[in-house]
Amino acid sequence: MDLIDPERARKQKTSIGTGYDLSNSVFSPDGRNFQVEYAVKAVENGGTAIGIRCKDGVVLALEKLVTSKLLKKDANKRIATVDRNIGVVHSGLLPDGRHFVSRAREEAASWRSTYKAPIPAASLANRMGAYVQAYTLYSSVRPFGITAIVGGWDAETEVDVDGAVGSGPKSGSGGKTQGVKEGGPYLYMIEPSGLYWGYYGAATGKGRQAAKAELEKLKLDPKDGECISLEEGVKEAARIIYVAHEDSKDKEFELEMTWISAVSGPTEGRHEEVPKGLREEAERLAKKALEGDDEMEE
Amino acid sequence: MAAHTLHTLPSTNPSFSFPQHAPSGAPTQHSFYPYTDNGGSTLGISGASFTVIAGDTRLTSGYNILTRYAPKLFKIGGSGPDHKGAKIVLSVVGFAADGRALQERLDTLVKLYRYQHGKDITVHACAQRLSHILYNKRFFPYYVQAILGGVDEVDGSGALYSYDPVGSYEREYCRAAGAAASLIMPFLDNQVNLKNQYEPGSVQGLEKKQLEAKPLDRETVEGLVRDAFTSAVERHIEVGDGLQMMVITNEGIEEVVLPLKRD
Amino acid sequence: MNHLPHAWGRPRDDVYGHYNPSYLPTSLGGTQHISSMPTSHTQSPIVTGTSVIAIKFKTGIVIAADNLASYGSLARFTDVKRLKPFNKKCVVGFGGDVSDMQYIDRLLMSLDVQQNYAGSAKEMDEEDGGSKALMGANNLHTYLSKVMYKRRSDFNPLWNALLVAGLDEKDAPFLASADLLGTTYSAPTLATGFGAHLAQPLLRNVVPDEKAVEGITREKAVETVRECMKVLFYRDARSMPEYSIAVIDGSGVELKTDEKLENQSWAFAETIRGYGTQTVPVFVEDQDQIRTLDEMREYLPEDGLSAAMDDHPFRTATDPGEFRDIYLAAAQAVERMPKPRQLEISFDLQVDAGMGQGEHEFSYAQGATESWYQESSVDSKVGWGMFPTVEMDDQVPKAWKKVGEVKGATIELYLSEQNEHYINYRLIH
Repeated sequence: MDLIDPERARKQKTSIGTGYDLSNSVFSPDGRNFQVEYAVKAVENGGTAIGIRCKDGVVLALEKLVTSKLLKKDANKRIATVDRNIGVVHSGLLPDGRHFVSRAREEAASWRSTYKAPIPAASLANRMGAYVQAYTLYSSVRPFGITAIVGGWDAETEVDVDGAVGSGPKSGSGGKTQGVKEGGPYLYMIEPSGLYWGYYGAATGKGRQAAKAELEKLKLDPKDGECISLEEGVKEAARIIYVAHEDSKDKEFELEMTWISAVSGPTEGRHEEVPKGLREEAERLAKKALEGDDEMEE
Repeated sequence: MAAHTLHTLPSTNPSFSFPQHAPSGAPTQHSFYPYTDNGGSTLGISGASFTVIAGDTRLTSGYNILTRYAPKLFKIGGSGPDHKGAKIVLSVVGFAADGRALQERLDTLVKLYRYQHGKDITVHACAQRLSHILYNKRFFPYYVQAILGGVDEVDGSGALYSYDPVGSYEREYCRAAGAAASLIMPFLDNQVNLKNQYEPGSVQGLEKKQLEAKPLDRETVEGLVRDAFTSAVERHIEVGDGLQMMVITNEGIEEVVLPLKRD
Repeated sequence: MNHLPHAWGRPRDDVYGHYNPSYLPTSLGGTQHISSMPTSHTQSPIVTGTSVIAIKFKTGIVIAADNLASYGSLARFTDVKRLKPFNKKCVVGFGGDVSDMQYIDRLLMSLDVQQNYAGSAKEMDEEDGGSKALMGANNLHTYLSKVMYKRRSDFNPLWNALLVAGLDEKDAPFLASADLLGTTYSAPTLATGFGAHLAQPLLRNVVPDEKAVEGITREKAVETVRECMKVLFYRDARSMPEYSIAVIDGSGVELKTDEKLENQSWAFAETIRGYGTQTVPVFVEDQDQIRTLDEMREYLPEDGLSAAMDDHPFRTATDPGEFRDIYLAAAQAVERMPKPRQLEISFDLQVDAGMGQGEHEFSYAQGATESWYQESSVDSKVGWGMFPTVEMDDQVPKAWKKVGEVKGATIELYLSEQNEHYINYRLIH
């Protein structure tokens, strides 16, 4: 009988752990969950994904690495719509991402059936964070091999309850307070551990370091008063993906971008693909900016 | 005193296929009744090498004409949503929603038959299958009178099957169904099955000789169908607007829609 | 712990045994009946919307429904939008139970969300150069009719009559209906509820069959539907004069939700005689003594009624459209009279000084009429014109001009200020 499982032997050789990395939900003596750390490694191999929270909307962008020349161009979209107002981009193991999106859609639908209104981005991030975290707790499952960026626009207008039939009283009992404004753009990033934070700009995947460096240069804090506009955000997002791609220049990629604007903006509060014209313009500018950098270096 | 006596003759109470409100003054209990009668009539006649199925196109609800064109005849099987190459026709009259549901189920099953067996279903097998569908739902029946028509694969003769709502069925030479069935059926009995027609000049009394029914030719049949419907339209308010007629031969299905009176 | 997330955080079956749901109602897998009664579903609608009407035109559909939700005979909600746009090429009109309408609306919303999972239709639009990516009205109708039929088959109906209006996948106009029984049908004109009795005949007059659709313009279709909404308001006690109207064609959905009925007039009512169908004589232009509508209009002072009423202490309706109806009706009445005709026209004016319709106002106006009778009946030659004011005691006002000579009848015209919608005339003998 084989007493040594070759697979096990391989793992022990390549990992730091001495058996603590074999099971999910088990800590190593120094307080680490190796399976989660390996999941993060899986993410680090994926194409760069970023999200930018702008003054009047959110942009999601993805460096979609072309794994085969036989794949149809601009097909096989990777950024998913979860509800009308929310989109998700992820980097890492694609099927894990699919499952994540599917669960997010269920959460959004269940929220709607309970509250008769769209799920706020913060609540979705919270629920998905809890869901992802649960996959670090049990020995029969493995953590998600993705980091997901969730972008959403919570309507700034007075949102009707789904299926509402009238506009209600203008004033008086049950009336509306004039000028009250809520909602706005939201961006969250959820990691394999289930950890999630809200961000002004988020990046994950292979080129995340370069992308983060670029994101930090942008004016994204709304308190600064000069927070970039959605359209600028689209152009910056394209440029950042191109910058992040510099390290793996030999590989081909497609730029996939979606955006969510204010209800008064171009997408009317919906998560949609960036129109072809605008995306191509952003790509043109991105390439131009890169050439400019090259020249300066030379 | 006399006011309380029964004073309505049966003939003053015309009967309709939809409920009439009784001015009884008693409170009416509202409750959901899952059926309605959408009126209209269908008929089918089989010949030596063809079958004709026809139906009017009016759809009614009470005294209302819901639409002047709602087909009661459906091609079954064939390929694609337009049933290319189909050689079976189903007609349904009664509750239109059940009719559509029945049609869709039979069509799906006939198409599945082709996928599973690699050949078209025969008319008699299809007829049996339809009976099963109806019988399976006998405790909440499809409220329809169905007539199925095609061409017999064995001898090439016209095949016509008629059904009650719970699946009892029979192969016949002719059948009328629906609102004006009681008007059309006696006419068909006389003209197709030659009922009450005797050999001219034959002895009267018990010995007199019935004319023997023979398969009719296509022109005669189509003429009978037109006559049956134009007459039914005159006497039944739920029949009219258009006459949809399908002729099934070995070559396939020919469909015509002719105008009927819209009053 | 296992790989079934559903079980996480719940008592483990192997430790605690299978969950015992017996205390739950049957709908949740238990054995308890809420009130020892069998399950009961909707047996009748509660808050209801009345008719929905729609008509096809050459390139699209017009659909309308009023904004009322009734609770029995109570006009309960007066701001209820019963036309729901699904996407850029379909609108659903709802008659029947309002809560079921809201349920279906949510169902459609989730359907739309799911439709857009694969990417928004907007983007695909641009690439295909058409709206092929959008769900067509025919498919939406099929979906809804299956929902309705399923629910009726479960004895748990959605108590609605729906009209689905829009464009199909080939961008051809599509109009069809589905009701609580799952019955489906399509026609160039459709009307649910009371509209099936009142509006459908009027709509069919304009579009008798599918062939006639080609000859109908968008404007004609809108005009017809607006006219039908008016007729429905006249006769349907569960209706209101505010309504929604949507036009769907190649350029998208144009939905207006706060329309008001215009040019209401009861003038038509006087052309109705007895019960059943009767032919009412039509106004004939080529009569020596009778002037056409346009000719008669010449005799009106330019600024219409308001000029005549300016001196009057009480204001009244000023819409020329209403007067047109009066003249038309009067002319039709004259037409019916045997020759030689003698016509006396008196205008019976009801005015309102903010006190509501009362005896005082009525007799006051009547007095004016009587005084004018005396003058005008001298030679029985009367003209058409503005109705009199109190100052008309001694002579026919200048605004009145001779139009023709008609004998043997009196026409009274009623103008009610109480409700400017009611202008009427009456043929006395």
